[in-house]
Order: sequence, then C-alpha cells, then structure tokens
Amino acid sequence: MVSRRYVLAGLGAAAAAAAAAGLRHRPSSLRGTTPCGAVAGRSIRWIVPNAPGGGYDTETRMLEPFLERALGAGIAVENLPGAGGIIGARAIAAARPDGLTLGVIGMPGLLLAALAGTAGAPDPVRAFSILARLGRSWHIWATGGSSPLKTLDDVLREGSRRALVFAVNEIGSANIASIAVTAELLGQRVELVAGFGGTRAASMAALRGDVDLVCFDFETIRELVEGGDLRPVLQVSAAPIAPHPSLNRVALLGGADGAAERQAALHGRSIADARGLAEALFAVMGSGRLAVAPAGLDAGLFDCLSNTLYGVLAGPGAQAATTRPLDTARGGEALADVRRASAEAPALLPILGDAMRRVRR
Amino acid sequence: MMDSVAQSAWEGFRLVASWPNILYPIAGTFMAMAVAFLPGISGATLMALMIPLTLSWEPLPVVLLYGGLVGGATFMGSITAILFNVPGTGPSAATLLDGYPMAQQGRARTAIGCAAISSAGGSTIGIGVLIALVPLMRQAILAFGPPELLVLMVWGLATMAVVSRGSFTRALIAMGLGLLLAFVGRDPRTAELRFTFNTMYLWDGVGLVPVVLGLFSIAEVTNLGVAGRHTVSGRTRADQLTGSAVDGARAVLQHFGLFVRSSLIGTVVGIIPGVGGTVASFLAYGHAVQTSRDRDGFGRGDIRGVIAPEAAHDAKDGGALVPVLAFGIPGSEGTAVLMAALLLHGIVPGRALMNEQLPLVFVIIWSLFLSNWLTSIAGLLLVNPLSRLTTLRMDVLAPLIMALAAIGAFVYRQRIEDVGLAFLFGGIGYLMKKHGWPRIPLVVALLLGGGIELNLHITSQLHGLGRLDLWHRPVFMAIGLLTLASLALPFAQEIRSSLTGRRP
Repeated sequence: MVSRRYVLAGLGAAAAAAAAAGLRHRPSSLRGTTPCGAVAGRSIRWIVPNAPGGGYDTETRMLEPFLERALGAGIAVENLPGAGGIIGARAIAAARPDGLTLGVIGMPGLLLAALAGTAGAPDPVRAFSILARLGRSWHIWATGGSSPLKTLDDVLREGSRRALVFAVNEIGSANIASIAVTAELLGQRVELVAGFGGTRAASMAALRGDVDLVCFDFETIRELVEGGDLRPVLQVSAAPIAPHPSLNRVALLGGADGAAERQAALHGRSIADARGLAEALFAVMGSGRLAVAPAGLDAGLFDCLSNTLYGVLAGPGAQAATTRPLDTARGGEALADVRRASAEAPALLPILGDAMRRVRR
Repeated sequence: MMDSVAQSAWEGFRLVASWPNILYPIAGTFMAMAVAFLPGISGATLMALMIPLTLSWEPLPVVLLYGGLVGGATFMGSITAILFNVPGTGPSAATLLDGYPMAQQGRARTAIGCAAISSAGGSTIGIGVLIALVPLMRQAILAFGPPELLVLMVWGLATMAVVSRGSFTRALIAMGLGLLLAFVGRDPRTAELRFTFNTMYLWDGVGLVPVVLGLFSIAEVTNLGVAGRHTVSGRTRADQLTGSAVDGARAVLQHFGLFVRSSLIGTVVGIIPGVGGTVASFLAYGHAVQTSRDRDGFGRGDIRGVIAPEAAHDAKDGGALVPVLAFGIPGSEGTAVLMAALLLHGIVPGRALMNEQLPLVFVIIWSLFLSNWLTSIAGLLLVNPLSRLTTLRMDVLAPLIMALAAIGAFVYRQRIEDVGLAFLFGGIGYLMKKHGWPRIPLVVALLLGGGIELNLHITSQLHGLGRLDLWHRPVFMAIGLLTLASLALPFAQEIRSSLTGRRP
C-alpha cells in the first residue's frame, strides 16, 4: 500500500531543498553607512546575463579578483541567462539599490529590444545606475577564407547582381540591426539566414561557403581572422577598430571617406542622410557593455562604486588579464553615451523592423 | 605530417606523465568527481569557478588541470542514474533506462561495473579517433553543416520511434507531445514568442532536465511508494545482492561489437558542435535496441542498454575536443569554459594551435584520457558501498531522491519554476508508466525538436537561395540513408519473421 509517510517526507525535503536554493536570491540588508563601506566585507551578487563560459561570464570572472581586492568585498557571480539577456537585466533592475547587487549588461541589444517594445525589456536609461563601461563591440563584415569575395569592392560587385547572404544567430540581436542598416547605407540587398547557434557556427557557414558573409564583433572572431578562416572586408565604424594587421587595408563604413558616403554619392542619395544614419548606428553600437547597479543607488555609494570600478578596469592588471581589450569609461561618460544612443536609435528602427519582417515572412 | 603528430603525441604524453605535472589532472579529476555527487554545482560551473583561481598559473598546469576537469564529471553522473533513477547529467538519462531496472533486480554492482568499463573503453576509442583525426580535424568539422545536423537529428528521432517499447501509436503520440513541448518559447529563427502564455519563464522553452527528472526520478519514487516497495532493489541486506563488477566488465567483452559501434557513434556526435552528449547517448541506445535480435529485455535491465549509452557518452568527450581545438568552437558548456581558460593563458584554439603547439593539444588529450580512466577505476573501487545504497529503506531514500531531483531541477537554470515543472512531470510520468505509455519518445523529441526545427529552417532557406547542393554532400546522403534504413529495418524484420514463422 502507499507509504504516504515517505512520499510526504519526500515532498517536504524537496520543498526544503528548493527553498534553500531560493534563499540564495534574497537580497541582504545594508549594514554599513559609509559609501563603499556599505559593501566592504560583504558579498556582492554580480549578475551575468548569460551562461557560464560565455563572453560576459569569462570577462567577469577574469576581473573578479581585481574587483574583490578593490572593493574589499566578495563577489559571487550569478549566471542568469535567457531571453537574450533580458532576464538577467531585469533581475539587476529589480534588486534593492544597496550596492550588493551589481551586474553587466549589453546595452545595444537591450536598447533596441526596449525601443522595439519587446515584452519585459527594462528601460535601459531609467532602470539602472550605470557604474562604468567595460568595453564596446565594433562589428566587421567578413567572408570565408576561401571565398572569391576578398574586398568590399568584390562584395558590392556581387551584391549588384544578387542579394548577399548572411549567417546570423537570432533575429532581434544587435548584429541584425548592424547588418540591415549597413546594407541600407551601401545600397545592398541582403538575405539573413538566422538561427545559427552562436558566432562560431555562423562563421563555419561562411567558411564552408553556405553563406557569403558574417557580421560580428571583431574581438569575438579575431582568432578565426588571424587563422585565415575569415577575411574582414568592412569595418562597421568611423575609425579603425583595432591596430591589427588584418584590418590595415579594410574599408571603413563611416567617416568622410567611408563606404557609406561614397555609395550615397555614387547612387545619388543624400550624403547628409547617410552620415546621420551611420552616426546613429555607431552611437547604438558604441553604447557598449556596462557594469550597472539597480537605479536609485545612494549618490555617495554610486560615486564610490563607479570610481572604484573604473579604477580597476583602467588599471594595468585588469587590462592585461582580459582576453579582449577593455574600452573603459566612467559611469557619467557611459551614461551620456547611452542617452545619445537612446536618442539616435529610433532612426534605426524602421530598417530593423523591415529586416525582421522579411526574415519572419 | 604523421611523424610530427607522433612526436607531438609522445611529447604531450611525457609532459603529462612527468612529476609533478601528473598531479594536476589527478586533482582535476577528483574535484570533478566530488562535484558530480554534489547537487548544485555542474562540471561547467566548477570549471568557471576555477578561472580566477588559475589566473596567475603558467599555461601548462592550467591545461593539465582542465583536461582532468573535463573528463572527471562524465562518468559519475551515471551512478546516480543507475542507483536512484536520477540522471546526474543530461547524457546519463539514457543509462537509467536499463541501469536502474538492473539496480531494482539487485544487480547494481554489475551495472556500475559495466558502466565503468564502457565509459573508460569508450573514451579510449574516442581519444584514439581524435588522435587519428588530428591531421583531418578541420575537414571533419566542415563536413557537418545544417543539412547534416538535420538528418542526424531526424535519424535519432526515427530510431527512438521504432525502438520504443509497447504500442507504436502510443510512441508516436508521446513523440508528438515532446515536439509540441520543444516548440514552446522563442522561435529560434525569428525570436517570436510561441505558447508562452505571457510568462517570461517559458521564453526559453521547457527545460529538458526538469522534464527528465520528473518523468523518471519523481515518477519512480511515486511508483515505488504506490507499489509498497521498501528498497530500490527489493532487498534489505548487501549479501542478498547479486552480480559483480567483473560480470559487468565481462558483458562489455561479450557485446564488444556493440561497444565499439556505440563508441564511434559518440565520437562522431561529439565532433559536431552543439549536438551534445545527450543525443549521443540516446542515439547509441536506439542503435543497440534496433540492431538486437532479442529486444524484449530492453527497458527491463538489459545490460546492452547500459553499454551503449555509457560508451557513447564518454567517447563523445574526445570528439568534442575536435571543434574546440581546430576552430575554437565549443560544442558544450564544459568545452566553452575550457576554451575561455585556454584563451586567458594565451593559448588560442584554431589553426595556429594545431600547427605550432601540437604537443599542448596532446597534453589536453592525454589529461582527458587519464581522467576518464581514473573516474572509472574509482567507480569500480566504490562499487560495493555504492550498490549497498539500493538496500536502503525507501523512507530514508525517497526524501533524498526528491531533494536531489528538486535541487537538480533548480540548478539547471536557477529557476524555481523548474522545480514545479519537475513535479508536474513527475505526476505525468507516473500516469504514463502506470498506463503503459512510453516516456522515452517524449524526452527524445523534446531534446531534438528545437534542433530539427532550426536546421530544417536553415537548410530550406539555404536551399531556396541556391546555396546548397544536397546531392553533393556525402555526409548528408550517408546519414539520410542510415535514417531510411532505420525506418525500414523493423518492417524488414517483420516480413522476414512472418516468412520464417519466428518472432523478430
């Protein structure tokens, strides 16, 4: 017969285990009263909105010892992946602004998601106290190492005959906006083949010749470029992305001599409009990955955390420890960039919306 | 080329075997084994936690340690699957299908012994293939694009439909339910939300781990309670248990062909980025059932149902290093963290690593080899105390299993809702078991549904754009033929048996 006792005991144990696990999420109360002293000797919950091993996770773990030393606090990295980073961002925004919950967010994706009205996306300007910028993601267009398309001119020539085929991860990500807006500036038709499981899987499609191009943050595909598996053909920026030999002769999208303005002139389109659209794209992409706290942080605590984080990020130890270069800024400067990006981003939305509609068709 | 590979292999072996280098993979192995028994920390999380601690280390000890960490967690997850029907890792879910019934029959020692030898042997074959593939790594990976992934996954689904116990119609219905669940969440291609009922929890879909824990672990505890069984094995003393680890090892030799084929399935699946060990284990299990003349024992404690998934699961580790080392493409969470650790120490996976630092590649390979064997030896040494756990009274064990299931469900994505989902599927699993509905097709369809949908979309879009010539993709054609053969085989056996008047 049913041993009700042990089934109930099991349910009780399960509930206790789940409750114990859930307790990890309870915010601690603020003990100290002095700025930064409020977190000294405490454990800071640092939320990373992607899985262990992802780019943000690795970067955070590399910085962890430097941050712990500077803040005099323990840092417990908590991975909250899902919904394109929105779940982690929401968890940061919803926490108590006591300095004991911090985290990292990718602003371009979050900004576009919020502007596009994606359900649950927090307001990137109002929901956070921006403490510092860790870095920025500048995209390149790249072809496969054995592709006959070796330069931007080759790509534009091929693009005048047919739509260029791109491999992308998922619709809604910042790199869709980057591809669609850049294609608009260059007067190219593009087909986006979406659903590749990450940067590398999409890059393999280019290497196999299944697609023409990929568009990713240069630092995430640097090894493939250095190994000759991918060949950069365009820098989606107004200035050289990095002092890297593989980018020496690669065309720039922005700037007075950039591909956007040259193509606009060639096709009789407004150069001023092209310049404005390119600058809007660069503003959004340049808003960067940010260290943030929930909005409403005490002013003294904000200053202390912001200065300490910036000091760590700009220091030689942290710069040397990270796998990709840090492009740091103080909280105030980063916030100004986010505000500018937020003001410029609506110009991108019609193009992004059109690209997404075509993929969903 | 082969000379330089052989020299590098020897140099790598020398580096691993020298003192005190050998201590690092051993330490990594035992840390990973300890963690595999601790609910709450996965192998990948342990590896991520080690990143800041190893920042100041030289590259060689880091490579040695991480080789041990990658290999250490693989086998141990199977022990909880055999003993308690609780898969410690996703790939161990296939092991419980026959491993747990063996424990119920008092043969836990045989099951663990068999799993240990299959794992170690499978990893050896996987690593052997990895070494043989060193000069061809890049071509091997480039051979697998979206069309090849699509047919591979369809093959997995077809195999499980055909081999499921009981009614074929019920298996198809369960599979349909699994596919429906797989489509919950964001459309992987367009990011549109589907069947999420305005809850953010469902954005990322229905998690495989809570479903498996519910369908098998919680359902089983409930079933044992209803049946009034006092212990897992039905015995209360260790001397009443039958079988031994030696019997398990002997079984691997008796079914050596199946063991080798399963190891090769695991290796090939491991090479393909993003497919993972769970697919490898279920594919090998399906292969074991499908290629056996007497299938009635599967799902009831057939040792071949332990050999196949265990060999495939561990063989996959060797294959999974191929995309990481050749292109820097991690195929799993564990290899993603491994790659991050390598990058941090200036070791850049890809062409340069393969050309200029080949001995270091072999250091990883040999560390993994050592680690896989160490875990299996530890499993064999612990076989007696572990098997005694099946004589524990259920009123002691049931709360423990429920707690393990709850923690396992929570840790998967740090979502408390997943605990509720596990218990919901516990109820569903109990009812399915009671009324003779197969649960495996549901799990396999949930596992493969997303990948099939995604690769079908990509393949059809690329084909529509004129970017694919499927007739000239030999791997696609080969796996496609295997799929057709899998579907046709049972009908062929049926026809043959009706002609000869024997049961298939």
